Amino acid sequence: MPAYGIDSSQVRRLFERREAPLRTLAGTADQVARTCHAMSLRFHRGGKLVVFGNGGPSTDAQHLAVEFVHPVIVGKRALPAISLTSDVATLTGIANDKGIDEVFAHQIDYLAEPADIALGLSSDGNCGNVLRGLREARDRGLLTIGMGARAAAPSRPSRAWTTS
Amino acid sequence: MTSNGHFRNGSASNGAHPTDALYPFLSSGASDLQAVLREVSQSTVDKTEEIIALRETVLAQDGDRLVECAAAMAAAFGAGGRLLSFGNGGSSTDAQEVASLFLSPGGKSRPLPAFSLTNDIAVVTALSNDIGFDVVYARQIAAFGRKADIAVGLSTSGNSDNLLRAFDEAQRRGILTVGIAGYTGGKMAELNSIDYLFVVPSASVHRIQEAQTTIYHALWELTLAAFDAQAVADRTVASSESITMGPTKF
Repeated sequence: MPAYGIDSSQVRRLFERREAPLRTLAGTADQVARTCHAMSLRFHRGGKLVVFGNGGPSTDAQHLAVEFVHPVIVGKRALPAISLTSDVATLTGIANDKGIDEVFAHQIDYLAEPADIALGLSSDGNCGNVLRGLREARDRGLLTIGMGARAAAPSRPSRAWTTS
Repeated sequence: MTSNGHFRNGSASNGAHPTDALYPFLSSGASDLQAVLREVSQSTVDKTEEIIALRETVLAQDGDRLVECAAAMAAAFGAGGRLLSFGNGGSSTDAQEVASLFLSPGGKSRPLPAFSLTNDIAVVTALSNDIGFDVVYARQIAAFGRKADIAVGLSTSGNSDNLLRAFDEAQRRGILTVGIAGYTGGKMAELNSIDYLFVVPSASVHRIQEAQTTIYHALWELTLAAFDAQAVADRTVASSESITMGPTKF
């Protein structure tokens, strides 16, 4: 193979790095199942899923929402879900007026209802606006779920912190 | 692990909806709750095993081509190109993540110019309403695309008409084209306008998307490594030339 400054051993290492997080996730399968059950109870009560995150996880938030609203498996029922990362007018408006930390909390304040589920994504668990969003959601009685790296898990405000 | 106490709040009602089997918790009563929890937990473990195995398959199948593709992408960036990404539905969010990875990677990683053709809802709805959804990406490539650019299109089926049109338009303009598909590649596998096509061989749309994420994360890391290696090589050439030619060159 020509010299590109990169080679296939680099690709292998890169793929190998991605295995341990999945093993960790498998180790939390019981927690995932209980979280799914808690979510199903909220959907039964007429709740919707509200998802948010920054950067790459903002796209995960949109992806998760569309999975529920338009399930790809034929026959699966649609469930209500919205991403708080899609409305650029609101995001930039709130960020400009009140600061970036308020962008999700503001939307939860006005769009979320107590039966809802708030799911915040943050790779390092330290995103100020995700934490603010989850706190706002908890104060309003929503089910709160956080997803991040394992190291992000301790002492966070959410009721379940799933690693991936 | 936190205990959330939600299980005491009552069991779900026993509706007879035909899709109950697909959302086990929506119909399960208290008596079989433990069984359903075990089933969902096992399903979670099974899915992680599936994606680990699927990534192994992708690595064996495409490891060398990922290196070649990343080298070509690095060369395109080096020539002043930008990355334009596109996809529909869940794949539109992957297109946005690809662009964001390059443009705003964070940390010490070098930002490179990239944008997603799914972001501007005014453009997407205008083109869909006035002409048709099939042209939403092709028309943007016609408007933005330059020869050194890179077009990255993602689809699970490989059959999205607007992607097929976009690849053809990109190739007409001499743009490097990268396709990421699933199943057996669908119509994308039949196109001759895709320079590098990566097909994730799975029957599950979710496993496909998970492996596709790995593919574009790998392409991003490898492209940056190749780009930096090329930049070092260029500097080495430049400095040896300056020594050879003497200071008067500058």
